[in-house]
Amino acid sequence: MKRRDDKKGRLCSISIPSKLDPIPFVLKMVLATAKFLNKTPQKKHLCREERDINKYDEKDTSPSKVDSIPLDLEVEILTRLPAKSLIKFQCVSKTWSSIIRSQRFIDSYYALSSTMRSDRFIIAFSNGESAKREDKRLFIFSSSYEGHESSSSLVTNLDMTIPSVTVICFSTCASVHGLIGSTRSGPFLVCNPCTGKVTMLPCSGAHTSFGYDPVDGQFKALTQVSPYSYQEPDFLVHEVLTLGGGESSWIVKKVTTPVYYTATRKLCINGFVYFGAWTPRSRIDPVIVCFDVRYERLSFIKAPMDVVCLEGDSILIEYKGKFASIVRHPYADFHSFDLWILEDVKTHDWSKQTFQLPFSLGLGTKMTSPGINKAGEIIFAPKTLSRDVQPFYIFYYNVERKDMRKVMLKGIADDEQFRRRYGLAGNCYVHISPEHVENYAFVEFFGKQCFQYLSSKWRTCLTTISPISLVESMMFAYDNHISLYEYPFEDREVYRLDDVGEVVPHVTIAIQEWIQRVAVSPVDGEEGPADICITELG
Amino acid sequence: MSSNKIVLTSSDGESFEVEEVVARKLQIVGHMLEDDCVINEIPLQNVTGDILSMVIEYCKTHVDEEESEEAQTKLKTWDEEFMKKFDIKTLLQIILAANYLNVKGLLDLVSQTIADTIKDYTPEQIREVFGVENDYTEEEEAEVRKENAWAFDEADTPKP
Repeated sequence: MKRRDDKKGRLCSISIPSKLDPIPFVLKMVLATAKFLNKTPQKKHLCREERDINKYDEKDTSPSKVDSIPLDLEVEILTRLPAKSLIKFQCVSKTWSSIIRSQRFIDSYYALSSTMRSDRFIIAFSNGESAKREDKRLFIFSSSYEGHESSSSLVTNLDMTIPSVTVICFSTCASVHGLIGSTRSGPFLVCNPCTGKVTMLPCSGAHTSFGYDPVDGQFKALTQVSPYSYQEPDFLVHEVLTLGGGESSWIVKKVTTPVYYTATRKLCINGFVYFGAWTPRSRIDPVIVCFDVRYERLSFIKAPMDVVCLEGDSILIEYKGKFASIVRHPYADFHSFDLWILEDVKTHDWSKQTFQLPFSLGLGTKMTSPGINKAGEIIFAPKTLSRDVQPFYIFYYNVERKDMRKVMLKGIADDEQFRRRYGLAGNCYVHISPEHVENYAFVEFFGKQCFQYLSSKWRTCLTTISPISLVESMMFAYDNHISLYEYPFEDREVYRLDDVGEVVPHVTIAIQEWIQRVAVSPVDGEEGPADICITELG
Repeated sequence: MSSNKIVLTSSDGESFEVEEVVARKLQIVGHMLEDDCVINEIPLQNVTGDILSMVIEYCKTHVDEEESEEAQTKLKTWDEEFMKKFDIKTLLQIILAANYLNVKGLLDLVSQTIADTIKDYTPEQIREVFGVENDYTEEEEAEVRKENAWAFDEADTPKP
């Protein structure tokens, strides 16, 4: 009971005053903001005086030295810079660094990104299921809708390559508030194509959902930890991991729900993660599970059979802020579809419209929809890359005009050199996230706790080190790190290891056992223990 | 529309006679006029003649902002051409003037132009241009640079 209270207190300390986190850089930001609030007028004033004095000295309009720019104008300019420049300009001075890292600036930058900058979207795919483990790669491309309507092709840009990661058919690989979260077997991968940084979340269970709570500005992952067994469990146990806000801690919290069977991939819309499932009876009672990221609650919404019955093949999209599903016949020509929209989450009210496409998109199961673009057009895209060198097309269906146009994405599948180099073969599943907004901040910061040594050299690693050694170092680091959360605690209610090193005392024996276990476990895929085990405690 | 003329005087004594509607684009002037200070000559202490003439040029062009798409595109093209004329130092003077005279549209335009201009600058160039003092110690700076090394790499995009 006591610990429960404790936990609550901690949770509060993290979640509520997220603008006043006890984190050094955020503190800095508070200082910087305060500075920027209090001192600016004064500074401006000073500037003017200086200017006036200068005036008498030199009449030149472009004097060799420009008067220093007030902080608020610097901020005005900084919000308009590309993310990469911001990362670079942290080196200009401590003041600039604290502005750039301040939550306030990050928020306004994101807000401006989503309204002003051209709409970007993300195309993620990997080089085939059949690639050898060490050759596997996840490619993240981005492109922008700039000049849409008129252009018939878009140029794509390779933002990131992540070795030894594959996305498969039913993986989720979607952009959530600027970060790409990807499920796969094992840890949950989060990367930021804008900073090139990657981190892995210690999600031990299957079916991880990744969501963002816009109110508190926190990323959370929900992972199901109950194992599937022959014996039907009475309830399901989940862990909710909270990220963001804090630099060196994850909070793990348990959530239990009635039993349900996850059926589809996940979709995060404005603070809620949705996915299709069955409950209480598998394949009989379709529901949409709704995870409230902020309050960490799961609820079930009755769903039409059509929406869930195709399970992994079903198409879930965000349609004008609402959860929706595109239902087509999977094994017939794709020339019409039903659009189911969840109109009211509380009353479980769904609406259904049927649309005819002007031309067929081929076999239904080969096509999917990532969602809609800002203009409200429904996007359709093939689920996989073509097996040989061919242009990759996506389609925009205009609901009002009932017309459809196709747009070629250059550089995705039509580059023979690229395909040969990375051995793109077999089924390369493509995941497109419409409306990706650059968010330079996250992962940049919380990635530190996990893969700091990778972060600075990340890109060099990608090109110079052989992928296999990178895999190992990642796996090793991963095991090291995640294990902190996997201690066989008697009470796994909540535990948190933070920067002051708070550990529940009875854990010491578990730590010793764990080190002994990790020390002898093979790390390189071969039999037998590693030659050396380096342990760092604390 | 009143054809009332107003004389704006720069810090170095240059005078500009402009229509009242144009002068009102400078919000600082607008406020003065609203306060019923019946003045025909307004001294603007913090702006030199050269910079003021550019601000006035902007205001004249933007004096009647039409809603039509065509007019908007035309203005946008003009803005782009207008901004091309200036180097970074002049731009910084214009932003100071736009801020002081409170011309919102120009402030946005110049901010964006400056951002586009400086995005590939090195931190040293930024310090020089903005007159920012480097308050990092050598070690600290090396650390920050190391952490963000990739952003300095010009050939940043991974080559396929």
